[in-house]
Amino acid sequence: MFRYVVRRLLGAIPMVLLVALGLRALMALVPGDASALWINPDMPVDQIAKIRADFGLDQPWYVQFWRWFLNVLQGDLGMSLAQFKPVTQIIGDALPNTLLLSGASMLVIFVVGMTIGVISAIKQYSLTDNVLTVVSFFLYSMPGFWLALMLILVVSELWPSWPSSGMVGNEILDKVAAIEEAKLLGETTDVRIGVFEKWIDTAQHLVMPVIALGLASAASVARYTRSSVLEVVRQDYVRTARAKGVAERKVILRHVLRNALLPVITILGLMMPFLVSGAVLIEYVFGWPGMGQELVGSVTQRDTPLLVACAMLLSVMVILGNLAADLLYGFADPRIRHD
Amino acid sequence: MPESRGVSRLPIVHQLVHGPRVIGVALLLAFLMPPIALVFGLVSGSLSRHIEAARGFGSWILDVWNVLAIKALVVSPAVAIWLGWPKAKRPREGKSQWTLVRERFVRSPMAHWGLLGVVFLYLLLFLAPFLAPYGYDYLRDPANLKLVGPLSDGYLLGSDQYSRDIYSRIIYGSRISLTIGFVAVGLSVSLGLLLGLLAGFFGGWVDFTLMRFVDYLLSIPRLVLLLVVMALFKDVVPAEFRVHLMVVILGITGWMGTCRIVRSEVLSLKERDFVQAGRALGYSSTRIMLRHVAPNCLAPVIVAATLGIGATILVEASLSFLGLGVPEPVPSWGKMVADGKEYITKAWWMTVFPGFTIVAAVLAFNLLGDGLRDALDPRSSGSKKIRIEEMDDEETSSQEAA
Repeated sequence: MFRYVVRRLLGAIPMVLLVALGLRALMALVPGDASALWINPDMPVDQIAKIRADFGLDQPWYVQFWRWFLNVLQGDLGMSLAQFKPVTQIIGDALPNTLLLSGASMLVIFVVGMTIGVISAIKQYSLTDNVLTVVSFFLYSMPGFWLALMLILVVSELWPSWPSSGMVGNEILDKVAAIEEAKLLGETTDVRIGVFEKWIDTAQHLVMPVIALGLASAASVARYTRSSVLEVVRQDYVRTARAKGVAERKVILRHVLRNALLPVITILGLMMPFLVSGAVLIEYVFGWPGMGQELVGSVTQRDTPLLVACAMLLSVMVILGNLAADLLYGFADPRIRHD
Repeated sequence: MPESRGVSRLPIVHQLVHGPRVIGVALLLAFLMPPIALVFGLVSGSLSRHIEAARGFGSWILDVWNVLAIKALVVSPAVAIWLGWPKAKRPREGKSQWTLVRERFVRSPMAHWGLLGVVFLYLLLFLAPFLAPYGYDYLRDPANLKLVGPLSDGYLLGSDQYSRDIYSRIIYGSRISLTIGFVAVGLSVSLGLLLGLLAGFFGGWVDFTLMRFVDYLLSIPRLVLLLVVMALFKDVVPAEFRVHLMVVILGITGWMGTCRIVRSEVLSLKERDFVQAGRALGYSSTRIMLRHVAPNCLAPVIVAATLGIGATILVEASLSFLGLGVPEPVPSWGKMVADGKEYITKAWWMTVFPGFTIVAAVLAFNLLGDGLRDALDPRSSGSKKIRIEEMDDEETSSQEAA
């Protein structure tokens, strides 16, 4: 088991490096680079050449890749060419936000999806089941970014004060600014940001992105759960339990759900690519300061180091998701052995 | 089912009377395409204008569609009659595989709605010049730009920030979304089928290399790859070829799923007796692969393709939403939603209607794909299908008794 995980993780390293190599080769196909952002057209030519040489942009792409690779071995992902900050720092700021968003969505996906799936399976072919089926088909076909906009539209009508963009509310920002100012002036201030207050603020901002990101996947989890429960309900041991007079509630909770929900968690890992792609758009709509925002920004600005790092990280998330799926598969079905 | 007599023996009428009504309605719509075009064209007054001005359109992909639209007016009724022709009733044993598939398909109501939706979408696509009251890039009131709401001032679904008619743009948008979806999926499915056949049939190092390559491509989130490619080549590729670039990129990033399905299917098929028989008869590998193995793994491929069109429409909408899709002024549903994003609180109709269209289109393809899966691959579905199989047997036996 342990050896299997280590082998898979080691196998993932060349994959991720290949992603970086492929991206850099792709970017080299098209002339132009990030230097267009900070070069003034009136500059003398030799000065432009010098700036580009300072950033190593005058080298062929494979030389750039090799230099970058040597740096990566030392844990240095390079400098962002557009933000003039180390890439590791940018990602260090953005990654926790994306993980928070994805993690919370994952929770919603499984809680909502499994609940709906179990309900519609227990009441198979009833009105509830049919309505839930139709609704989940709708949600499954819905683009997340549009759902996000519709949420913004509805919430801004019904509840104008609810935050619909960004991650930090104005009150907190004001307090941060006040503290910064006091620090600059060397004064002491009684403005404090309570931990609890900050959490509530973040949670408020989190609600809409999580719904927008999670609902479509929740619908597919619901479909999967429904068929899984229906399969278990037909098993002999469920009939036995009913025959010996176990209460229906207990049959469902103890005998059916235990066996039906375990396979469902295996699709957790397979959901990862959808979550990653979806997060890019959802972050864009809600102005959530995560990896998706950085990715879109780095693509438009041709900020190669940041782009490659973002893409690598997203690939790592996908690969880890697949690994998790395989491991959970073995956990849910002990007949599958990894060795 | 009662024996069809008299007028109900006619194609399409047969489906309306006996068969699934929704399919009847879908076929009727397709059959009535020329009169629909005529009526709508006359009512909206756009018929003569569009036939004459068809050449003035900016992007040539829309021009091509205008020519096809005229042809569709002839072809569509013919296809509808062909599809709606009542089939002679035969006992179950005598039915071909495809007749059984058709019968199973006819039993699933969700799939009917999917089919109706898809027919309706293609009607929109072919008849856009006749159904849309204005051109997709026609500025109705450029001197006085204001956002007009739905059902007022001659705008059925409101106007956008350049006083263009949203209803017309949604109709023309179907051409972009459906074309990209259809062609890109055609490309990716052919690629997947071919490579899956090669990997499964030849095994060994071919299989190993191809499958590692598939793993590699699957480890890159598709949207990231598309984002990078579209952003990079956006300025290099001329605007009128942006659609082609998108189709190709979507096609070559979407074949991995099909490839895996086909490979696993081939792996089990090539041990079967009919393949062994082909070998014994001395058929070449190519012949066995193309004539005997490939047709037998088409079922999951058809399902994957139908579901893939829906998914591709979603991806196209996402890219257009990020501003990396087709160039202005060609309408795309995703881009229309993106336009509306700025005005979300002032002009809800700019986002709501194009978004609904995306949902409806993707839903139609998903429902159709689901129905096709149930019809083509009865093993994959659960208890519901088993009951239907039983019903089927009862039905045949009761008919025999009668």
